[in-house]
Order: sequence, then structure tokens, then C-alpha cells
Amino acid sequence: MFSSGVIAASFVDPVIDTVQFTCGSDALIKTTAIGFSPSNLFTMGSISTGTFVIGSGRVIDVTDGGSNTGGGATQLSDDFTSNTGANRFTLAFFSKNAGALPAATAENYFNKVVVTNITDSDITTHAFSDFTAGGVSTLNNDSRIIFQKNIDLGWSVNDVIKLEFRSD
Amino acid sequence: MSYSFLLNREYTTAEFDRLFNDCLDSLKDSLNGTDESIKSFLQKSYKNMQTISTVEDGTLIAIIAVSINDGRVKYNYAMFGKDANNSRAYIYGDAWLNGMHSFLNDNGITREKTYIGKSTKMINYHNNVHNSHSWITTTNDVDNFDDAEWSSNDY
Repeated sequence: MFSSGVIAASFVDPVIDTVQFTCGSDALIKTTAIGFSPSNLFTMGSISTGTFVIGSGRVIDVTDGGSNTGGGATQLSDDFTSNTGANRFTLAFFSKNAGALPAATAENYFNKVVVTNITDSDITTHAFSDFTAGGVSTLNNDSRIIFQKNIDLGWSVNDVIKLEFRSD
Repeated sequence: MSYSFLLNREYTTAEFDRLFNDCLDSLKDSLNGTDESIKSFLQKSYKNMQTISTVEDGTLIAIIAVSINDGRVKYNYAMFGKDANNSRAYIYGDAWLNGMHSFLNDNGITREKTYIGKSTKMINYHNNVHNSHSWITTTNDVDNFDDAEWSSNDY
């Protein structure tokens, strides 16, 4: 004999947030970047999803060019440089007027990021642990941190890219 | 001599290779790596950037890779090849400089900027040319880049 019951389950959406942009390009000295940034130094691409959040819940700014930080702004890009010949996946997060960004942990940012090149129908996944984190830089209540991974993503100008930041 | 300045003119592999070989000495002064890695780097960069080309009497003699935003051009990389006189001195001449300025005006570009590695041939060029055309070359470490100087016009 069976008794009816309810199986209680909790579900937490593992998707922290998504951001989508169209790639542009810019260069600085010996490095070329392809992707999105509103920076006064690296100005490239256009974003279609507006602000997004990281694991801690902090809102990441996508419009300020780094007016208080010497051009340090959000940057989501595929970089290559003649300095070392290296290709890099760069994720620079910029927080506007909210104080220092949290420490560089997977809980505070993302456990993995799923990169979809919609134009090329290409999907890759990158673990937080594969990135090298820079220090949190805070100036005039604006804050920025940069994560980089050595890899050639193969992005081109006008590619449409979606980044899905996940906690699982 | 007659120069034409063209935005995003397509170029052949042979044209790119000729310009690259003509100015490899200057490129190696500003970029790191082997001849082949510099060439590969520039091919990928140029492919993804806007360009301003100079054509002299039907022959491509220069391509500058640029970023253009809101009436501002940022000069990223330049390949100045040899002209009909087997010389690259044209970039100092009034004919080329005035033609370039006219091209910028015609395209609504009123501001220019470039970042240049310190102690390179290109910074000497900017110092020589831009001082005579009211550019400002800043030699301190502005914008948090300690390995570059920058020049600007109307900045």
C-alpha cells in the first residue's frame, strides 16, 4: 500500500546572470582586443543586455568609461599581444560608486562561465579556477578587478557573444 | 604624385605582404616577436579593425589600422610602404599630411590620439610631425601606461 506524499525539493537557479554583446575591436600599444568595453582606453563593441550581476550580487557597470579610474572599466574580450604572443580571455568587472568589489572567489564571482559565440555556433565552458585574478583596484568609490585565462577564443569583429555566469 | 585616402579599402595578400616587408624594420622597433609572429599578429589585428589606406597613382602605399568612435580616430598600427621613389619620406611631406587632414575632415573626424612605445621611431615621427601641426605629445606616464607615450590633437 502506498501513501501519497509530497516530495519537497529546493531548486536554486545556477545561472547568476547572462550578458550579450556584439564584438568590436581596439588596440593599446602592443595588444589588440576583440569584444566589448566602454573604456576610454579600449572602446569597442556594443552591449545588448545592460548591467549584470556577479555571484555576490554586485551590479557590474557597462557604461562608464573609467572616468574616475584612468580608463579602467568593464572589459569582456579576446585579447592577443605581440609582447608574448599569448591569447587571453579577459573578464574585467567594474563597479560604479559602490565601494570595493569583493575578494576574488568563485562564490563572489562565478564558478564557471559558459561562452556562446552565437555567430559561429560555438560553445565553450571555462572554470573560475582556470583564470588568474588581478587585485581589486578601488578609486573614488569605483572598483575594478580583472580575470584572465590564456586561450584563443577566436572571436572576430561583429561576432555576437553570450556569457552565462553560473554558480554550479 | 597624387594621393587618395580611403576608409576600409580592401587589400590583397600581396599588397599586405609588400607593405609589411617594406616597413618591417619599423614594425620590429615597436612590436615584439619574430618576423612571422609580428606578421601574424598584424594580419589578425588588421582583419578586425577599420583602416585608412593611402593609394598613390593606383598603388597602395600605406595602411593604418584605426579605431574610430564619435569623431575620434585612434591610430593603432601603421604599415608605411615605399612609394614610387622607393622611399617612405612621404609621410613627412605636406602633400601626404594635408591629404590626410582633408580625409579626416571629410569623414567628420576632429580628434586624433595614439599610444606609442617609448624610445621608438614612431614617437620621433610624432614629435617631428605633430609638433608642427599643433599636436600635443605627452611624455609622462598618463593613463596608467608606463611603457608608452601618447600624442593627441584636440584632446
